[in-house]
Amino acid sequence: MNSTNIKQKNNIHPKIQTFFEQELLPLAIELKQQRDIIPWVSLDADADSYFKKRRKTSMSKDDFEKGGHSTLENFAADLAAFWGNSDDSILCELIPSLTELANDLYFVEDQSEDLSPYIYVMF
Amino acid sequence: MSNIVLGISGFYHDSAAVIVKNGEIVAAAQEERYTRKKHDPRFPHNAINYCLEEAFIEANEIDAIVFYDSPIKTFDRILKNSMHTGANSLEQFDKATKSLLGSKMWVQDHVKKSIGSLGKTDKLLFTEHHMSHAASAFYPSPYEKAAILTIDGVGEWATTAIGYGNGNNLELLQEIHYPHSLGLLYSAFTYYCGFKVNSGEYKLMGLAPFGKPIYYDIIKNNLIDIKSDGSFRLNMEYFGYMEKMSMTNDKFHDLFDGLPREPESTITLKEMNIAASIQLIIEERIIDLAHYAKKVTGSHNLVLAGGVALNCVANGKLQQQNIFDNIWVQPAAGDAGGALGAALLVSHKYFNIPREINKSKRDNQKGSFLGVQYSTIEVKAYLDRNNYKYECIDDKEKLSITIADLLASGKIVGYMSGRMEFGPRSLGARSILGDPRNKKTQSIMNLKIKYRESFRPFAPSVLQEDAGDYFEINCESPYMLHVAPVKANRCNAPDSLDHVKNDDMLKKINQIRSDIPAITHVDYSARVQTVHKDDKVDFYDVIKAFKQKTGYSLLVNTSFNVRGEPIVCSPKDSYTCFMRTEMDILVLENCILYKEQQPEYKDNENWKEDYELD
Repeated sequence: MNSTNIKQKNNIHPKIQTFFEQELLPLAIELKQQRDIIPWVSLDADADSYFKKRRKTSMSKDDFEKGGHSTLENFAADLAAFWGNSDDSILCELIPSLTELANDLYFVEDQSEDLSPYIYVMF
Repeated sequence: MSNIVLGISGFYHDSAAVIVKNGEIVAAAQEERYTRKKHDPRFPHNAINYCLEEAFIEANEIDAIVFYDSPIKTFDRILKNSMHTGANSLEQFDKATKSLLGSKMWVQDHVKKSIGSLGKTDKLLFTEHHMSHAASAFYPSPYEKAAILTIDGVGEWATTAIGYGNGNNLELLQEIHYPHSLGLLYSAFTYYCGFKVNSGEYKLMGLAPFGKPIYYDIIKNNLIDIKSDGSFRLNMEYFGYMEKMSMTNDKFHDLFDGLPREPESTITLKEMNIAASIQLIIEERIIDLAHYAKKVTGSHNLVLAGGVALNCVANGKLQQQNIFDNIWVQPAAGDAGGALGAALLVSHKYFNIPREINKSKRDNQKGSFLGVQYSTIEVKAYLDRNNYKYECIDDKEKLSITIADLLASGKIVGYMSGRMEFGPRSLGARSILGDPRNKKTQSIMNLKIKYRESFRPFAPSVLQEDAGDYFEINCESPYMLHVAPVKANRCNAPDSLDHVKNDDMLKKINQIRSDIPAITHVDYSARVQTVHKDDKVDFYDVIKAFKQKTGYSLLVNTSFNVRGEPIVCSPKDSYTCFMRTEMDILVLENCILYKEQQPEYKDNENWKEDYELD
């Protein structure tokens, strides 16, 4: 990741900021020219229902083993498997940088820190 | 040959571990009880160790270990959320990425570090978040077939799911996806009213009866769009959580004429009215979703899980609708229960262990008494080592009568007996008990024992067979998950409080509303626990002895902790809580301790600051 011309913001991890500004946002802009990234965010007066029907309704034995390895060694392969055969295969472009980020951040989180007492823990 | 599955949930809130053996729940525990950090989200090392001990197994003897959701799908959502919102979401993306790639993604590494093995499969298994919730609701329920409804903040992408369970099989059919979420909607109002998100939702629910739903139309016309089948979307123009570290935004604040209430400041009529309004909206949405679940599945039974299913007021309203003949709610409906659901799902769907319905037609949750128990020998050893004075009563009948007599004389009793509860409610294993007839019980318990807001109501534990004498309830409520009206013949006519124009909540609280005032909430309702002898005989016997003494077959039952503290786990936790508060009596298994007989207590911890306000 190239970190030149990036104005560093306080408390933001520099490599995360670089990735965000130089790779994620440009890809988002490119994608948005083709389609909404989360197409169901807005209200839709014409829709009869907001329910999404699941394509696969129950878990087979294989499905329990498809959730990824949840290890650093397999992270890139897991992401490639997840995005590769989907409508979002363009996101595979991000995998090298995400792997680099994962290597830098691996087990460095301060787990005693609450994200914020007033934000739902969505991540 | 035994089949043993370890289920794990964690990293968001209420991490937990569960052992299921041949489809039967053997042990379940939440990490917070051991670490003493409320809603502890960290990897549940201690809870796993307890579960392995209880099952008498080593880690390498486990057939499979399963995590309750999919970190990679959650990461997919985080990434796309930031791509959708754009440059303004850098701070949120930074926090989320540090959190996920720093720790939450590496579940397999956490497991190996913790117990040194991935079990016999040598591979960690994963489910989906709402599959885990659905499994936790369906598999332990008493029904062969049931509609399933799961509602929470968010899990991976889904926030709401409708499904169907039949024997071993479990299907999720339709979903609503992030950012549209009833859990997040309720949390946004929790935040706006100055309570802590993820734990203050109970307060908002408790506050609702003090207000009038005057903001109902504003919410319905601006914040949420509802279709005829009950599906919904939120109007994201009013919410901050997609791009900021805040639930609400300026437009939301303008809609409600002001900034969010400062935490710990005076609660005003505005917060009461907002609480009443959002509570009504949520109740209607749950009822709509239940109607649709009935239409889709045709089932006569409904099972519920997900954090929103802990809204016991809404559950009570749903019950009154008679949409379904039977409703069962998973007592650990939040993320802790995800560990249970994941383990059961792997048992029944991965290993094909046949699901067995309880022959008694009751559920297979075992009263949710699934945690650690301390023997009387262990209790005595602890008390003797510390020179704490106690009386040991081995005769169980005499013990029950002694405790009942103390309660009837107005004493407040800390009660630790048997296996610890799994889930957020104290059900008679780690409880503080009081006399519901005593008009002072509520204020004493709130202000001198729990150190919490005076408006918060207490719940009754009533003998199952006598519940109809006190409450308008036509079902079991063993897990304190149904709110029911107090019988009209027990209620007093309300004083006219029309002159209370603004914020004097105490005038409303201090009214004597029934002959059981300590558990009669301001709207003449109560959050009922029905106590069945088969679930917990010692607790049943205490209430029965109280009935013989007073004619009343119910007690006030609140969780054994102070505000911000996890529910006590061990004798040490119980004794510490007992001495820090104005509780009169402590029961530790067969041992009774009287406050006035205890040595002077020197507290070395700054506990009122250590326990973060909820």
